[in-house]
Amino acid sequence: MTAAGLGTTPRPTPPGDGPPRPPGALRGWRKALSDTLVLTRRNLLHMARDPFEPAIAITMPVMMVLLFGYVFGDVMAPPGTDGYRAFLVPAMVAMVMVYGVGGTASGIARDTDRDVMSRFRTLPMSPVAVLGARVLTDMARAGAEVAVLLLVGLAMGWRAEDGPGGAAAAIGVLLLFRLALVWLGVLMGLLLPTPDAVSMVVYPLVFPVTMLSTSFIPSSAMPSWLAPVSEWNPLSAVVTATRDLFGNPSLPSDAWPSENALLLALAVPVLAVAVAAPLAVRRFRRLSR
Amino acid sequence: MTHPTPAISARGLRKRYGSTRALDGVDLTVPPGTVLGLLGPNGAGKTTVVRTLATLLRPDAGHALVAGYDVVAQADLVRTRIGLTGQYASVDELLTGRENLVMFSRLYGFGPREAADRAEALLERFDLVGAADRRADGYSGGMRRRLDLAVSLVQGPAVLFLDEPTTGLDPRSRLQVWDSVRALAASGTTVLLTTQYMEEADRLADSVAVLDRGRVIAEGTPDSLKTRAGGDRVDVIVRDPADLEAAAELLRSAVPGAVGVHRREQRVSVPAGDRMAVLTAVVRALDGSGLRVEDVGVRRPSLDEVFLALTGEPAADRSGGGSGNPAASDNTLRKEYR
Repeated sequence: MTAAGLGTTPRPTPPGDGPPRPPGALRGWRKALSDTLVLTRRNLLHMARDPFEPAIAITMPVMMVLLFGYVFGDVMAPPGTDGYRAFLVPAMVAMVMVYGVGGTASGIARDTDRDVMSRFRTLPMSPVAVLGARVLTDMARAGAEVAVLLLVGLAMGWRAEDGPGGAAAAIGVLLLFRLALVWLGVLMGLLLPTPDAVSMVVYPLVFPVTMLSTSFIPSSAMPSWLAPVSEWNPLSAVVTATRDLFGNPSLPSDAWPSENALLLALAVPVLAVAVAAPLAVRRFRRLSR
Repeated sequence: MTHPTPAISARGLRKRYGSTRALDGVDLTVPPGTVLGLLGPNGAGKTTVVRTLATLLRPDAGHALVAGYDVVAQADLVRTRIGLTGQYASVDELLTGRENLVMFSRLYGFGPREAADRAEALLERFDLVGAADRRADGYSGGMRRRLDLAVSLVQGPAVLFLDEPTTGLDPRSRLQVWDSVRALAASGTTVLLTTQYMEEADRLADSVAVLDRGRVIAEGTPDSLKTRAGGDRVDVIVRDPADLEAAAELLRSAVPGAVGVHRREQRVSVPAGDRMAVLTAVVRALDGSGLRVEDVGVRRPSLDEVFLALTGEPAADRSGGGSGNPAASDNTLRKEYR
């Protein structure tokens, strides 16, 4: 293709048939996908070379599952159930999904802070590849985190009571939730000025989200003005839906969000991705220019 | 012969950061296959020019064509034709040299096998085979710069931007980079390099543009700029200040041109249009004159002297000073980029 005639200023004729492309060069979405995979490989190599951060990221939740499981023990069990640990595991996995936001946000902030990003911007590269690679990398991490936490759960006596189909659906709900949080994390990482700012801002934002939910405490035990907040918290819907799909005991509630937990656990993340992903791509394109 | 389509042509580029003008109407023309040296002190706007032409910054006003494409409207096409080596080696520090080259080849659109071949060829060309499978954060400054240069050549760019390619390098690495740039220019690549060193521009560039406070204040061949700054000189430094006048008298009779006497440095200086002839004549005259001489040498005008000649003021404090261009300093640029 030639580019002659574009724009309004007179310009010299571009040479020949446009730029020579590498033989068999990919175009359009194939190039975008290829770029994304190349950069995902780079991100995974970074994790392998600098394993401290991912190691901490997985150690913390395992420690929390063990602490919650054995220290708080049965005092937090919902009335009428006898398996506190069975009740706990889905909530812990969902909570870890939420905390992943910080890792994603600081990851993308580091990505765009590095000098090498300048070079990426001078390449004929798909502009969404950097973000796509961050999303793929963090989803791979999320998959590993879910697997590790469920294995720890199994060791503690948790079981997926409704069989492999329900378990697969529950894992799907958790990963969809994480996908929405990854895109939110990407957007936050692009909006905040430095990786340091990310860690200062994200965790204080995330902590109340995990507490103001029905993950551990029934909304009936909260002040009446607070109960709806925690019932409508998407995390509550995800935890309730996951417990149902795993066949684990749930907190009794007749609030609408609780009755329709699965619907909310699917709709809210899809909506969040639909909003956050285009905003993040737009923000990324505008960085620096 | 008609003028060939320029490889780089910029008209009236302007860029502001807050109240400071990093670029204040920059015009540049670089014919294909030539090397342009963009010379200027810190904060003159050199990096801003490079980042604008390499599609990293959008100018507030003006327009520029690189390899025939508009850097704003056709940035994607420009990117298929350029390579950039920044002031800071911008390779992936956690990856090995080979992994870097393969990754960038893939991102330029080469298939896995082609990318591996290109990586191998560039590793050999830049003498990095031995370090190919070591992480780049363990490379020396010179090796890192060579890897950086290799990465910028992955797609065989028509136009190569080198932003202070030898700053911070030891003399040997500097020579290696110079050799590479010369080889590239000989093979037809158009090169725009920024530098603070007159000597570097002199060695590499076909033409030089001097940038000051975001504007091009002079353009020409290195020789013509040096001439405006007084040209090359032969300096004689005498051991005893009392000998200064005698030395000046001796030089006046030996070579044509005005002899300068610099009392504080105990230096006598003559213009050296033909460097070797003048040097030979000076040494001959001194030999047997009985004057005790500390040093004799050919000196090229420095950037400072070129600046002094062009602007009537020294090149210093362009960045940071009240009248300077603080926003164009690289730290600020990097922040702006984020």
